[in-house]
Amino acid sequence: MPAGRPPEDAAPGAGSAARGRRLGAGPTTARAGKPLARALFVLAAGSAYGLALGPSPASGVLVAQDRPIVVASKSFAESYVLAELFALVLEDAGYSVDRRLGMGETELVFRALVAGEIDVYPEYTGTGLLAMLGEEPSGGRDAVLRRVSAEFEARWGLRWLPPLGFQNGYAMALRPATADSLGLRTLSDLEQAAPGLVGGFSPGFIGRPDGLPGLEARGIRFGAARALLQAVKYAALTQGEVDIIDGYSTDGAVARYGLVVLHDDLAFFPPYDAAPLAGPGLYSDNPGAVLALSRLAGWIGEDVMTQANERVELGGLAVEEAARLLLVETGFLDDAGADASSAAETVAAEGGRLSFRQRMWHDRSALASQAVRHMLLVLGSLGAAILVALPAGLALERRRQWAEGALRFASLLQTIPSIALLAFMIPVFGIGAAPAVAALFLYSLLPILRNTYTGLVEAAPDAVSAGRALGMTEWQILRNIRLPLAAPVVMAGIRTAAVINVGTATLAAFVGAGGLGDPIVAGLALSDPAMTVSGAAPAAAMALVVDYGLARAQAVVAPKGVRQA
Amino acid sequence: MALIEIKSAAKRYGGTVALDGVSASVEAGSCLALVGESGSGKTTLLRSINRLTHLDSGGVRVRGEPVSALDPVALRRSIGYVQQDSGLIPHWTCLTNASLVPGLLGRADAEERGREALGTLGLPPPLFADRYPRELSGGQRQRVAMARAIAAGPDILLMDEAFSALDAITRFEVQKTLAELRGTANVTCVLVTHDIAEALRLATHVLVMRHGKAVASAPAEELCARADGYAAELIARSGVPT
Repeated sequence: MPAGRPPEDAAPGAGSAARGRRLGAGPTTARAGKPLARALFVLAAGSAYGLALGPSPASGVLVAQDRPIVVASKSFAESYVLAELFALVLEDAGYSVDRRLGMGETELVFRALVAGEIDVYPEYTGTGLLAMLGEEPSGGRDAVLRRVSAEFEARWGLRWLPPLGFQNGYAMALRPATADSLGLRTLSDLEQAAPGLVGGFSPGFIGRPDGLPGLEARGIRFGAARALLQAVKYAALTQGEVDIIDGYSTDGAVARYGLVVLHDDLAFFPPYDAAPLAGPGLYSDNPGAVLALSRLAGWIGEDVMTQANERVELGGLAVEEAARLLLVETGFLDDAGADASSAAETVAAEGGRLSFRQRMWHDRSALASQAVRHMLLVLGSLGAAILVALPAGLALERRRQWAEGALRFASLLQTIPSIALLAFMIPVFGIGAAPAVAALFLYSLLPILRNTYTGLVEAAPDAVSAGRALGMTEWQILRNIRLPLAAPVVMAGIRTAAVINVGTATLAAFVGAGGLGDPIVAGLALSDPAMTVSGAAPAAAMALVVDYGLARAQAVVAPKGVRQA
Repeated sequence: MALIEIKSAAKRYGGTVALDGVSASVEAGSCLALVGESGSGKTTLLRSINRLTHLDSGGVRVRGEPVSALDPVALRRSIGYVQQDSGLIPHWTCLTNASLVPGLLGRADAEERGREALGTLGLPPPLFADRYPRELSGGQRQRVAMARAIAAGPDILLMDEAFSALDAITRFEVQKTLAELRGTANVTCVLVTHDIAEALRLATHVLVMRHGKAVASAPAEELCARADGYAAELIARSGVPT
């Protein structure tokens, strides 16, 4: 049962009876603090896309869904927490939800939303303005929101739901010692100092117009810029590997490590209001779900979000617990809080994160199903590759003039970086298992095709020519000489492809295909090494087992007379 | 009529002339040696007999019939063939290898034929039938290849440098076996060799080839006496007493 807190219930936890039992008691609800400003802001936001905020629907809304609402996130902690928050709110409103958390960088998640593969994910207005619309930062929070609302609707049919109430802009962060010795306090101070600094930036920041290129256009050029994942950025900074990073203003780590954040006196970074970004699958098919998410409007302050991020990134609290705790502590949900608080206490009592062994044990059932899914991705793609590459290899042996071109093409596929190949598959196959299997299939083609072809061509040429001279037909030569002698070579190709696939399949997590890449990606996003290893170790073990098994198979299919002793 | 009749055989590979109007005939029961250096065209001429080479012009008749009118697979199955590197199927036993041609011909007694051929070549089946080629010496492998070539009882045997890869002692032994075989089985042979001493020892007739042409042709015992020019030079180089 949802419980949106009515505006007059100002003090947190002031009597559960007073907590609204009516759904949608008013999304204009503001937390104690700056109620008027928030209410005005949300009203302005609401009017920007003409969302009906007026009358509350009756309780017990009939939820008629023909499929679960797909909620996704990017791969950093706050995005996880917000997506989980959306999922909890939607479930509380009676919807079933399919979670695709940690799907990947902005481009990937956004494309998935445009393609209708997902229905909603947390996005930031500034990102929408600069990265997606490619416009210059201009205007305040309201102006940016109005701009992206109008343009996203017109270009892609996407809708920004009311902002959640906090901003998470870029924050250039340094060690206090660096900032003090160079006298750095503002962004404009960087112009002088930047050439002497080594930056560690997320790959997105390095490419985006509101990131490094924009800074460079303003004359802020760093001595060097290294691409670092969110998870390792803070460690690199505190250990002195880099001097300056792109943090986020709600990042738990900024406060925890006592970092200095440079004031944006240039108004370089646009407003980054967090809001649910929804596709037609949400706002057309499930208007009630829009209403449910709109109740989060203005609900989450910067301090609350920072605390939730800190709990996840530094305290090791599970994303779901952190999200639930946030909703309970802000009074959005009532009773369900008991579990969450106790979970938080448990983690706190154990001194934060789970160790690797605890993590493996804690996630054992999830890991088992991820391992099965991982194996299925590998087997599916490998099976398809065998079905294509084996006959193709046979055909090429008959038409050798085509062999070089075909093998060159397969090699070309192999040179495409795995992550890029996965991204190319999204427009064709959407997200989930299909693009992953397709990409892994393309990767498997070369080893199998090449080994089949060379195995057949190089199979005992003396015996082939003698067989032909004694009256064997080409078919008899293929069946009796080439195929048996090529079998172990073909098997070696399959083995190579399989081992590569087990490794590459961990990247499938970036397109929502699941598998053992999920804990790896989540661990990286949440700065939890034990979680990363809980996915990486089984994947490595799987590669070893597959390699050993296929090595045995390779020995078995070798005909007796040529088998190695 | 000759068992094998070759008339004005000509063949080019791209710009290279391999055969330039060579004629030869091989009587039943005789043994013709094609002698010459690498590139003289002798192997191309040999392979035209069982249609492994398709001539540009000229013709080959085997048993009175033009080979161009015969099914190549059936023709090859009726002619024994031994090559330099044995060409045994590596994952087949000696017996399976030796029984290949009778098997291809669908003969019910294929295995018996193979066994018999192994015995004829001095490889007792109880010792050799189940062994794989890689478990044999080079000479033994070449004997299995010869057993395979004669197992179906062909009246013609083509040998392409069949003894070249063997050491001197083994080569002598295997050559002796071939001579015995010719005496007992009445097989007509065409063999290719660059070794004129071998040609004189094994063949009844010798055809000396150079640049795709026949430069000398004579019965083996008369070749030394009649040879002039290039053929005489070849004989002198080989150290055969004249």
